[in-house]
Amino acid sequence: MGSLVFAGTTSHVSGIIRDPDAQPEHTPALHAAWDTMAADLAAADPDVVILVAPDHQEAFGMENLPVFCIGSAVTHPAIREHGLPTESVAGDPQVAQALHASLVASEFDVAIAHEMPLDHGFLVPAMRLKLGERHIVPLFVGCNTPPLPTLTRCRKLGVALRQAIEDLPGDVRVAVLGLGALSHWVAVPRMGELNEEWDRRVLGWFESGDLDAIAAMTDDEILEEAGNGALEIRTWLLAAACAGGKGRALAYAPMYTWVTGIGIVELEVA
Amino acid sequence: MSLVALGQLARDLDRVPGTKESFVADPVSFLAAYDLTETEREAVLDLDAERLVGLGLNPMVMWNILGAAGIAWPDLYTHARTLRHPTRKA
Repeated sequence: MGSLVFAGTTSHVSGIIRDPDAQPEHTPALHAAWDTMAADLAAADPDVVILVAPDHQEAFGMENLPVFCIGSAVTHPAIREHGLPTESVAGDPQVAQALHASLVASEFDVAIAHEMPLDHGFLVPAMRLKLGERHIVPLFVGCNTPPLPTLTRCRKLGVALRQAIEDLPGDVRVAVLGLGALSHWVAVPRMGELNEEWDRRVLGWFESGDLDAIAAMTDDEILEEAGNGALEIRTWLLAAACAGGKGRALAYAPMYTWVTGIGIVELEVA
Repeated sequence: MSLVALGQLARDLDRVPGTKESFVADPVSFLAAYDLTETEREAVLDLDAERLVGLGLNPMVMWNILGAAGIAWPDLYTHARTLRHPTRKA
C-alpha cells in the first residue's frame, strides 16, 4: 500500500529562477520558505513526487489539449521555454500507470501521455525545491484554456488521487505538490496588477482547511478579483483535497516584479 | 481560425534558433510557412494583441509571438509598432 508522506503548494513563475533576488524586501523570506519546504520534502524522502501543474500551451497545444493528463515517461524532457535553465527529470511509468488505472476505475477519465515534456509550471518549482534526483509523476490540470474543469471537479480528483496513492502496490512513499499561483493577470490588459487581499483570504482558507470556501468561488469571480493566472488555484485545491488536512503558510509576498502573488504552503496529511 | 498554426508559430519563435531574426527581418516570407487565415496573418503583422486574443488565441501564446518581435509585456496592448515594412522600390 502506498502512502502520502508530504503535501504542499507553491507558485511557479519563472522569475524565481531568472531573477531570484528581485525584491529584497520580500525575496529572502520566500527563499527561506522554499528552503524549509525543500528540507521537509527531503526529510519525508518520497520515492515519487506528483507535480500537479498547468501547462502554458507548451507541451499541450490546441493540437491535442486534455483537461487532466498524467505523464508516464521514463524521462520528462525540459521544454526550457524562454531559455530557462531547467533540466529533464526522471519519471516513474510504473507508478504513473498504476495511478492512471486507479483514477479511471474510480470514474476519473484522466488522459495519459507516455511522452510529456514539462514547461516552467512543473520545472521551476522542481528546480527550486531540489527535486532533480527524485522520480516525478506530472499531473497536468487545464487552467488557462477554457473550458476548464470546475473547482469542485479538481477537489474530487484530489480525493480520488489520495485513494489511488494508497492503492499503489508495495510501500511507495509519495509526495504531492500543487504548483499554481495566487493573483496575477497574464498577457491581458491588467497584467501587472495583484490582489493582496484576495491572496491572503485564499491562503487563510488553505490554512484552515476550508476547501468548501475555495470550491465555492466561480471562475468569473476569480477572473475579476485575481486575474486569469489565479485560475491555476485548481492545482492547489487538488493537492489540498489529496492531503485532507489544514495548511501552514510558510511565506507570502505580493511580488510585483514577478507579476504574481507568491504563496508557499505546507499541507497537513490527514 | 487556425489556432494550431498560431501555436506552432509561437513555439517555433521560442525554440528554433534563428526564427526570431527571420520573423522580424522578413515577416511576410516567414509567415508564409504557417497555415494562417488572412485575418490572423494581418493581426500578426500588426502585432495586434487585442485582435489576436479576440480571434481566440490564448493570451499567453499571443505574448510569445509579440515578445519575439521585441514587445515588452507592459506594452502588449498599447504599443504602436507593426512588422509592416515600407514597400521597397526595385
